[in-house]
Amino acid sequence: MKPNFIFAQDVKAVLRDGTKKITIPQNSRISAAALDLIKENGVELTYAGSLNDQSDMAVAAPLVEQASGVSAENIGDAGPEVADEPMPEEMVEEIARRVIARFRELKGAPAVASPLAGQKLEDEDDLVICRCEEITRKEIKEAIRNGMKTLNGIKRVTRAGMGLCQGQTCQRLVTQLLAGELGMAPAQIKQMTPRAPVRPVALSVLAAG
Amino acid sequence: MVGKADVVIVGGGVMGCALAYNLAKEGLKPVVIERSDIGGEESGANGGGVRQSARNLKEMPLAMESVRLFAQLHEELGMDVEYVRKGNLRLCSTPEDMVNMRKSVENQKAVGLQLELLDRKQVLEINPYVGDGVIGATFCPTDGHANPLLVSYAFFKKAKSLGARFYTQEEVKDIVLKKGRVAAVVTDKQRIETDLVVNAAGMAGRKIANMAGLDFPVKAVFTEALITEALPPLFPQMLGQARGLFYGRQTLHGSFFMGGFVGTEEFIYRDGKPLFNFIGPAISRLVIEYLPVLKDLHVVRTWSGIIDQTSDSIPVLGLTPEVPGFVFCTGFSGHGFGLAPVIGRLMCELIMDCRVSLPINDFCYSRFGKGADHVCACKGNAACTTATALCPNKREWLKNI
Repeated sequence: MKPNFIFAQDVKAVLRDGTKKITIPQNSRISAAALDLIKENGVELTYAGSLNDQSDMAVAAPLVEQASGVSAENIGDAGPEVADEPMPEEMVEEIARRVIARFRELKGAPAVASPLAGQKLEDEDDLVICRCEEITRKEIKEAIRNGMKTLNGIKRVTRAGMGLCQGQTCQRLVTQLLAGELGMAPAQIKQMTPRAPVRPVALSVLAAG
Repeated sequence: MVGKADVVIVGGGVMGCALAYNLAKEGLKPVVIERSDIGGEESGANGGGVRQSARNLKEMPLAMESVRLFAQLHEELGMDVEYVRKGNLRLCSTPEDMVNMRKSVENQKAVGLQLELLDRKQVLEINPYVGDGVIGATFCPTDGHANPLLVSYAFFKKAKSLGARFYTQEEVKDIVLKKGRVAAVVTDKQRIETDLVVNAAGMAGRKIANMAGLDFPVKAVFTEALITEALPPLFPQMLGQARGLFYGRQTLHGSFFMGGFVGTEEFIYRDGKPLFNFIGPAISRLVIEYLPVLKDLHVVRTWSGIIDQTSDSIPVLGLTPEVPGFVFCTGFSGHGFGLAPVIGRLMCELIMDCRVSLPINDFCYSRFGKGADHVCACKGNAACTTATALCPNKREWLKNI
């Protein structure tokens, strides 16, 4: 089930119209900034559906997510729902506190320029994704937008994954690009068909059987 | 979801894409259904040979026209398909090969092909890298090769820009007939009402024909190929062996494509992949024997493909009187890639006008039922006819759908 996200702007909207009430649908994830605003302004939360431990966990999930930098999909798979024992409430609160503290800290801090900050999008498209065949991000994106919706298809028309390493380096990157373009999770993308030999073998060696 | 279509092409291989391009150019909006990727099966696994030599003589007029069309593809489709027209050497290593080739050269010259038989010295002038065992070769200077991966893609891209619609990862499950005529195509995702369905499904062509109550003798032949690491350009010709043992070329990328046959290809089990592990080594031995200069090169990748081999090794093309609206364009028996541009054009002519500029009678579906010597005079494949009831003013009729 696709999680529903509550962002700071949603809370701000509630604050602007003065109701100070926000409805949290089931399976929602609240961003740290939104949670901050909710606490600061004492916004009343109403839960759509029954309120139980699970939905409490759902509130905690985004905080964990932001703290550790893992993606929403991962937390859903290996997070509280799967664990044998639910995470103790104190621990959840501790994580939430840490996230909020860090968020406040960053809010006032001067922005640190990323080394890539000055670069334009075009430059990013020039990133080499397949190193063996020197295939750029742009070429791969073009192939996807032209209708190649599988790794094998992209490989055929761009040569990404056809070099000496046979996609061992670039397959994950191409998967991410494809997943991003199709709006799917990387895990849903079918892998390239593996082809023998795993490593290049001299013709004379192969000929010997 | 399209609901209705002028034409549904089953199979997004090189034939399906070439036909879709030609139809879209004529203003139709064909729909192409492909179960894997564009050019993802036979069209993406073949050797890329664009040759006329050593073809069935019945295919020769088509092959000659195709060579002419290949030269225009880059310009026409707006994409380089790496077409190289530098000849095809068919290497002989035994005196019997030479005798057979001499005969075959005469036959092919008789239908107008520029072809000659060379001795070893002449072969070395064209390709100095052939092994000591080569005693001669046939040479057709107008043959060549192209990149099969790019040809399907180029046709696909152009067809799409002209209005053709492509559905990949979608499989045709049924062809609905009404009063014996094609009425609709049902896939695993949608139903498309159409009067005209083209069977360009390659190996799955038999399954598709079965859906319309038709059948033709075709079997699966399992074959393998390999590709090496790249070298600077060594030779531009397409290479073959007189008995068809191996074939290969150097791609523009620099790597060497090599395919071959060992005799076990026909023994695959239905819908399975054999676990033979000796085809790769066998190809390697032949490559080293015929091109010793490559022996230290590394093999980067091997792959397999399925050849849709008909009983007489020539394709099935054209309309069928049995099921009006069902068009065959399949059974290319492993040498269809080089014909793709001309087949796309001829099938388009047939669909638009019921008239083809080159006769395709020899490839008609009825030949299987009437014996090998049958000289086809099927209406519809040769000249305009009302046999299919699609015909009078076909173009006008289609516009009214």
